[in-house]
Amino acid sequence: MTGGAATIRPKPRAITVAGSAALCLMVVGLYMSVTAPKEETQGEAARLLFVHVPSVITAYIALGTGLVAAAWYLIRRSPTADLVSAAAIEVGVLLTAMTLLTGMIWGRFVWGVWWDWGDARMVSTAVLFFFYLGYLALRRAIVDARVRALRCAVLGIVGFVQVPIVHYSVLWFRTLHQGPSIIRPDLADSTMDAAFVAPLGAALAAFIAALAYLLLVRVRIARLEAAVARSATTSQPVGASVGPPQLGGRDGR
Amino acid sequence: MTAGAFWRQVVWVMARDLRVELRGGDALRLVSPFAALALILAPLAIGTDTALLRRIGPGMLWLVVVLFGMTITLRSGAHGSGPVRDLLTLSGLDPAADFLGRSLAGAILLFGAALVLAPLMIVLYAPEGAPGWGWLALLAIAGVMALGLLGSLVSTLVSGLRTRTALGPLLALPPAVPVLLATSRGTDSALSQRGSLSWLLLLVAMNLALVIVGVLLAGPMDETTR
Repeated sequence: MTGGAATIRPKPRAITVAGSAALCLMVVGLYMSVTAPKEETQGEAARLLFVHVPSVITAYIALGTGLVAAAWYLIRRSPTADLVSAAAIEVGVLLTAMTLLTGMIWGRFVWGVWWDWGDARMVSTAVLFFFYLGYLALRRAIVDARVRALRCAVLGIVGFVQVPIVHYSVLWFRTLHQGPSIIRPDLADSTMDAAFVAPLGAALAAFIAALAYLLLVRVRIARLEAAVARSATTSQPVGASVGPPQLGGRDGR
Repeated sequence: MTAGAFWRQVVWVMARDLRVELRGGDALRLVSPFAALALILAPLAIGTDTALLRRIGPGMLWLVVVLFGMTITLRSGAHGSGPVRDLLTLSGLDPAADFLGRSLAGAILLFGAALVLAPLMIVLYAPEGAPGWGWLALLAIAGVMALGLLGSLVSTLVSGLRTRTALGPLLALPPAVPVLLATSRGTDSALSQRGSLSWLLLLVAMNLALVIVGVLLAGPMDETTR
């Protein structure tokens, strides 16, 4: 384990900074979300917006980071790019799951159902989630690091095609889900009441800081795993330390 | 490499895969009867309400083609093994030509399977409406081509893996959702004498996107199989 131990460094400062920022912003975001005025038609269920919307935006950012890092890997064959791509997609899957879950809970309160097959956004998000679960399964299935990095880079690029489909599905199909109110295709200002924009902004900042923290931690863990795997393959086998019988021991003198 | 030489390679790879199928017969002799059995069993599970079966017939056909078609397009043929790949590379086979050739072969086999299953669906489910044959043919060709391209792409990604039989469909089915939607809804429209242009355009766009992605990434993908 000597080779691996040499590469284990103390926790980088960036992780501490991102973690502290995420924690502080979470507290602020939570306070602003709870104290925001009650929404006119949706009531208390509208507070789920402060988790649902930031989770989907940060999921897009994470999967986009995965795409850029995957393309970077194919261009430069940098192992770090592969680790960043994998870490970003893993966190993106977590955030997509959170998006689905909060969307379903919100739907139960506002639409009266957990799931609506007519909702293009909901169905396309579930498809996206299962595709990226497949990505994670492919990653686990390949042992060789180079082959894994190459195949996952290809899949990371192909999979991202679905992200704009998910986002614009509410415009392309007749659906129950409301149209985009933050990232709008005409780049116009938000259609949301100003009283909700500030808590949403705080929650989004908290989610972005949390994303940065999780990414940094996941990349660090992946680096340590790679170092351990390298040391396991390069370290001397136990049998190699035992040589043929030689005179010169305690009784041989 | 000239365009002529490239397309000759595409045809050569396609002919090789079809010859392997002709000699082995997995797609038409094993997978098609299995898919036909699914068409027979489905009404037993969901109920034998004739009106319901009339409505879901075209969708069932395409669901079966997509699900069982994955078994055909994800098959690990002679091209899958390392030494054969090395030999083909040394012979100057362009990875993009290999990708397109395998996709075309997969699409032809899927089209054959769909031709076997369509009459059975008509007999068992008796869908209503007078078919617009032109639209149906175009939808079927564009649909099986998209599934062939997708299967070829994913089969390279999972080649040589112990878990490829489960992992392949998990990776290929989510992107196949637009194909399922376009073919089944398009067939519904064609049966009711409405045009299926929007669904056909969706399939054409998907085919174009898959060809571009597949051809651009054929090199790196080929590298991982050696």
